[in-house]
Amino acid sequence: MKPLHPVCRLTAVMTVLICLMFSRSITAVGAGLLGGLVCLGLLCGAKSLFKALFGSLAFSAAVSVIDPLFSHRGMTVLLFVNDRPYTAESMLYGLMLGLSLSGATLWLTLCRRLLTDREILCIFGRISPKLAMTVSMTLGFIPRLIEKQKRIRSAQQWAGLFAGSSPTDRLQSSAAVFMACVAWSAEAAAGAARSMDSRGYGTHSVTYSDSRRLRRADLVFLTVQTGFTAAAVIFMALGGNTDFYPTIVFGRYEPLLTAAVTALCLPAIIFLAKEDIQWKLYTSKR
Amino acid sequence: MKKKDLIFFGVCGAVAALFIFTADIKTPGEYYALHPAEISEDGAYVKLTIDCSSVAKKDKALPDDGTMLTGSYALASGESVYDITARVLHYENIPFDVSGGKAVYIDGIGGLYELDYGAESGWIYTVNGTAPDINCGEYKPLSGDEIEFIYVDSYYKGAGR
Repeated sequence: MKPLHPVCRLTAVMTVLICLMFSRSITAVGAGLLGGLVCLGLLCGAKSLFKALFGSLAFSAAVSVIDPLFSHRGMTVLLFVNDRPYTAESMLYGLMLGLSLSGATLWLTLCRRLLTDREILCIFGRISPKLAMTVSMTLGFIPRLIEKQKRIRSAQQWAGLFAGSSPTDRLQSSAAVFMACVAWSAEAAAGAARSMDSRGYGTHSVTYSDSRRLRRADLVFLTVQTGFTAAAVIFMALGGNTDFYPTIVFGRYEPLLTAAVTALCLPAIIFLAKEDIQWKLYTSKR
Repeated sequence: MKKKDLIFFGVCGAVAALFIFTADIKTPGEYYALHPAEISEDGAYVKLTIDCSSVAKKDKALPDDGTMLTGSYALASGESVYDITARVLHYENIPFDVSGGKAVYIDGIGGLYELDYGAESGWIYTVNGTAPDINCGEYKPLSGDEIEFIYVDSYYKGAGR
C-alpha cells in the first residue's frame, strides 16, 4: 500500500478499527478479524498469520469461557457454577468480545506495519505537534521495549546470569529484565523530555519535509472507505448488532453490516495482494 | 527438572485444583433436583405472579389476561426475591433480562422491556402488596409471602408514590 498517501493507509486501518470497536455484531467482528488476518498474512508471511490466528482464537476461547463466570444473563443454562447460571448466550457474548479485542489488536499491528513513525508525525504534525509526538511515541514504545528486552536478556545471559532454560529460570530472568526495561524507559523518557525542552520544542511551529499531496487515486480510496464506514455506522444504528440477551437474535441488518465491514477490509487486501503478486512476478527466475 | 520447578508447577496445579474442587458445578438437572420449584408439604414457599395487565391489550403477543405466570414455588433458605424469580423463570423457560450488578434490576420479562410503553414504563415488584424500598436482589422474602412483578406504564402511580 506504499503508493497510497499515508492518510489513506491510516484511514484503511482506522475505519475497520471503528467498526470492530463499536459494533456488537458477532459476524461483523469475525469478518473484521478475518480481513486483518488476511492482510497480516500478505504483509508478513504465513508464519505471522498462523501465530496471530492461534493467538486470536486462544484469547477469544479464554474470554468466552471466563465471561459466563461473571455475567449470568441469558436463558440457555449449560451449568450452574456456585448456584449461578453459566449460560450459552454469555459464552457467545464473551466470544464476540474476544474476537473484537483480538481484531482491534491485529489492525493496530497492521497500522504499525503500514505506517512509519515519520508518516504518523507528518499526518498529525500539522494539526497538533504535541499529539503527533505522543501518538508516534506511544506506537513506537512497545517495539522499542521488546527490542531492548532482547538486548538486556542476551547481555545478562552472556554475563552468566539466568543461564538455565527451565520455566522458573525463564520466569526469574523475565522479571529481572522487565525491571531493567522499566527503569531504562523511565530514564530515557526523562532524558528525551529534557532534550526537547532545551531545544525549545513546542515554542514555535514545526515544519515537515514530507511533500506528498493527495492524488486522484487517494481521493477515490478515501471516498470509498468513508462511504462504507458511513454505511456500516448506519446499519449499526438501524439494528445491525446481535442481541445476545435473553436469547441470541441476529440483527435485522446484520448481513448488510457484515458486508460493509468486509468491503472495508477488501481495498487493503486487494492492494497488498497486488503488491505481493507483483513482487513474486518481478523476481528474477534465473 | 529442578526442585524449584516442581514446587512452581505444584503450586500452579494446586491453585487450579482448588478452583475446580471448591467451585460447585452442577448440570441443570442436578440443580433443579436440589432446588425444586414444586412446593413440598412442610417446606417454605412463596406465591409468585408476573403481571402485565396494564399493557396486555396493546400487544397481541402478551397473554390476554396479562398474567405471564402465577403459582406457588419452593423458597430455599437465604434466597432473595431476585434469586427465586430468576430460578423460577429459568425453570419455566420464560426469557428475562437484568441490568445492574449487585443492585440488580429485572428490566425485561417475556419480551416486555422497560421503556417499551413510555419513559415511565417498566417492571416493579411488590411483596404482599407493597413496593419495598430496596432492590429485589437484597429483599429476603419469608415463607408465604406474595411476590408480584407488575409491568407499569406510569412508574410513580404504579409504585404508589
